[in-house]
Amino acid sequence: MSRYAPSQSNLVWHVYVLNGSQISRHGVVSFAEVHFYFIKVFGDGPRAFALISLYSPPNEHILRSTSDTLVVCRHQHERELTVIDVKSILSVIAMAPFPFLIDGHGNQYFMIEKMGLGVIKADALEDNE
Amino acid sequence: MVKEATLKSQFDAEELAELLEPQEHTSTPPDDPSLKLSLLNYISFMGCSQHAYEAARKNTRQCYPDIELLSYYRVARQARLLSGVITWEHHMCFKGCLGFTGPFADLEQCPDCGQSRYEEKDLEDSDGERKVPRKVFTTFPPGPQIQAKWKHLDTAEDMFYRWKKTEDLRRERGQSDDPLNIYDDILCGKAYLDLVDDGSITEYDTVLMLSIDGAQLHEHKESNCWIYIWILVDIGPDKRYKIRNILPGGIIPGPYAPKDLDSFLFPGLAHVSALQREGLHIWDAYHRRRAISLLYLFLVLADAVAMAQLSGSVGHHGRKGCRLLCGLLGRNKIHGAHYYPALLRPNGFETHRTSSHPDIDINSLPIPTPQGYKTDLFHIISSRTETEYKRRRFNAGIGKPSIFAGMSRILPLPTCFAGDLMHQPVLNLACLLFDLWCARPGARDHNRFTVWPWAVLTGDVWKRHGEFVSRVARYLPTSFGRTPRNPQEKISSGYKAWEFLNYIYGEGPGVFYGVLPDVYYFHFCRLVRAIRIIHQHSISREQLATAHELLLQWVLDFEIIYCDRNPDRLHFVRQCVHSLTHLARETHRLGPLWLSSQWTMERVIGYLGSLLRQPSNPFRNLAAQTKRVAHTNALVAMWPDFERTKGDPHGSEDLGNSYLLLGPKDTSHHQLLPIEREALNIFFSGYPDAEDIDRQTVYRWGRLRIPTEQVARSRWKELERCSDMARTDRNVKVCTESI
Repeated sequence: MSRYAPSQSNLVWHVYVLNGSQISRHGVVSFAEVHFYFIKVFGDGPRAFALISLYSPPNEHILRSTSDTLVVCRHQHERELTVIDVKSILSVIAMAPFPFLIDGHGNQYFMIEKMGLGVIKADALEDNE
Repeated sequence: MVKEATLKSQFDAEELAELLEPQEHTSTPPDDPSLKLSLLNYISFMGCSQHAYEAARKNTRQCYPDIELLSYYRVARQARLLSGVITWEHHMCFKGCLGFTGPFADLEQCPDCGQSRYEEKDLEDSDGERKVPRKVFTTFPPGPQIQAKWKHLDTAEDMFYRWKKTEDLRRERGQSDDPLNIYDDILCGKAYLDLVDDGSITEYDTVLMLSIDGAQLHEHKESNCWIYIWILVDIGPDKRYKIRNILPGGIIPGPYAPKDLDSFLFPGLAHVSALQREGLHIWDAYHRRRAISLLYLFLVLADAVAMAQLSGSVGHHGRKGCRLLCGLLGRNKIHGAHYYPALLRPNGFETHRTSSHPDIDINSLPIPTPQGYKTDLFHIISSRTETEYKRRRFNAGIGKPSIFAGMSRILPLPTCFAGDLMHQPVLNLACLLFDLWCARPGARDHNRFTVWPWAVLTGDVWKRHGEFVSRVARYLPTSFGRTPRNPQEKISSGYKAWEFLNYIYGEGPGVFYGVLPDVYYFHFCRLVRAIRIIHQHSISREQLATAHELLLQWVLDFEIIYCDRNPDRLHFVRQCVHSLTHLARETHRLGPLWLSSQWTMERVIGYLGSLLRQPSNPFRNLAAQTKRVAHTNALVAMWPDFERTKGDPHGSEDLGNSYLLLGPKDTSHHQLLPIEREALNIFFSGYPDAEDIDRQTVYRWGRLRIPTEQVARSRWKELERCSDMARTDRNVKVCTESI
């Protein structure tokens, strides 16, 4: 499985649960497309998983030269199909087509994260409009 | 005047009694079912016309003749009485010069423009007996609204967030004075923690932020008005910014901009000032006891124009034009009156009369201090002649004492005036960058024929870039909010702050790759990196240090690669460039700046605007709707049952830790494809207790809600949709525990 360590790329983050208390997780970050979710029942109860296809690790050269702002990955389709626990999903991101060949390869995508994630949450009142 | 205000002079006897003796509150809604149903309808029909309410009333009577619901007039009255919320109307100048409050309270004409305060026809017809004001503005005193927040167990618990978090932070900090490792709320800022340390703020106090902004209700300028609100820092950041927890402060009708903003804020501020000294009596339903809460005005938030009025500064074009009043000396062009906060001295400025000072070291920029502000202000008000006043105002950057100087419990001036993360680094800086990149007239220099290497967004390149940006929109998840429209077509016609944020700081590095020349592109990326950090929900100390370094470097590089010490290009260095140097320090002082930005105000304006019904008289309607919001907020705080929050959707599966599986779901077994089976096999072969798990079939689920409140979808369901415009929500960031 292709991965890159957050400590090297400065993509360190902290994860929040809703009551405001903080869990910080350190691990390996990757980007993926979800195919579907499913539940399997274990002795201690049901657990949920997702079948995903992983994007390639970001192009290191582009990442470094852009102060860690431009994350470009290749879509690998079915080659990197894998299963994860749904609780390792941190956020929903955008992967938009990147119209350049990188090292002669096409099929490139660049990653966009939501700004100020979790700060101003959608107001339930305004959803109704 | 603000200093001397007392509660007794502000309320009539009955209101005062209620304010001083808040009654213990039974947490069951009123026992009378028809009153309850009337109130429920009143709340649910927010944003609908009175006719809708009356229709529901008639329908109810037709089916249940025994239930007599209250008329709209009576239910509104009941809502006011039960909520305890009070509304004040004060007269104002017809031309918007000032409100007839404080020192102007007894005038019959506007001292500025001479317009009469009362309808002249009525005065004449009745020999001066009937005094009908020509225009009024509305104030909602926060005292009763805050009392309502303590009357129910659940809301009182919400109000206790501040003190709970404060105790956690103090424990984390221990005895040391070290800054915290993580900034994730205003309470993590040094300014707040210092106030707790020196005992200025304690358990029951109410910590407020005042936010004011101009709003345009319709497309026409005639609908301009000014709104201010109070934000309760006592409530946790996840709930603090919701409409139900915002306290409306006041509505100042336009269309003329208020010239003397102080006189319009006077009733509200005098009320807060009185509560700061006399204390607000509350019934704490959580601990079931009475308490006295002293109000603390923590921050004042405003757009640049209003801020200059409130802080008494000379404004952004002054020689010391920084809105935080840091005192950095600007430079003006040879015959220009407008000053720019340029650090580097332009070529040929060695003998310039006002701007000959040498290069300013970016690492030793001045910081705003209360002492410096006091000295300057004393200097100004002790001026003996007009000329002396003007000269001193020019040197100090402030022109008059601020109305907030009369408040006893407020962060020392000028540190109570906050910057604004929405206007400066997003709207204003975006405007500057596109003035440069598109070579728009706003930035052109004298010599129209010089070729700017960075001005690449013109002609076909700009057109192709615009098309690229509009193609990217459909890849943005719905949780990203409004997607940027084609900038080439729309950027100069009402491009919204949110669009700019997603466009420049979200998509920017991707969509400008290969468009901007390398030097300018990599320079831009450094800004993006820093601004992304500043916008995070939680910021670590190391990240903040990184952002600070990048921002200082960016500002200096900006002057080098864009201005190049060319006196003709001095006007590139606008205040928004300088404001970047403050962002990291301000975050250390106030916590993540998004929490004290004008984004909240923006949303409140949008919400109130959506409630308007009668475009013929928008200001009266706005005041009435805002009053209804104030009543409803208080009622819902007192009886949260009045507005049930939505439960989990039907057929969902709660997984704990705020993860929730959502439909659609397979109705029968889905046979896995060979490659899918392979993936399951690999995963479960290394998984504990998974020997008996079926690896051939699954029931698929389509969506998953995660703790960020985003909903992740899936390829399975998204590829079934045929619309080209549909957004893409199936890409996720994943963290697997380190191996």
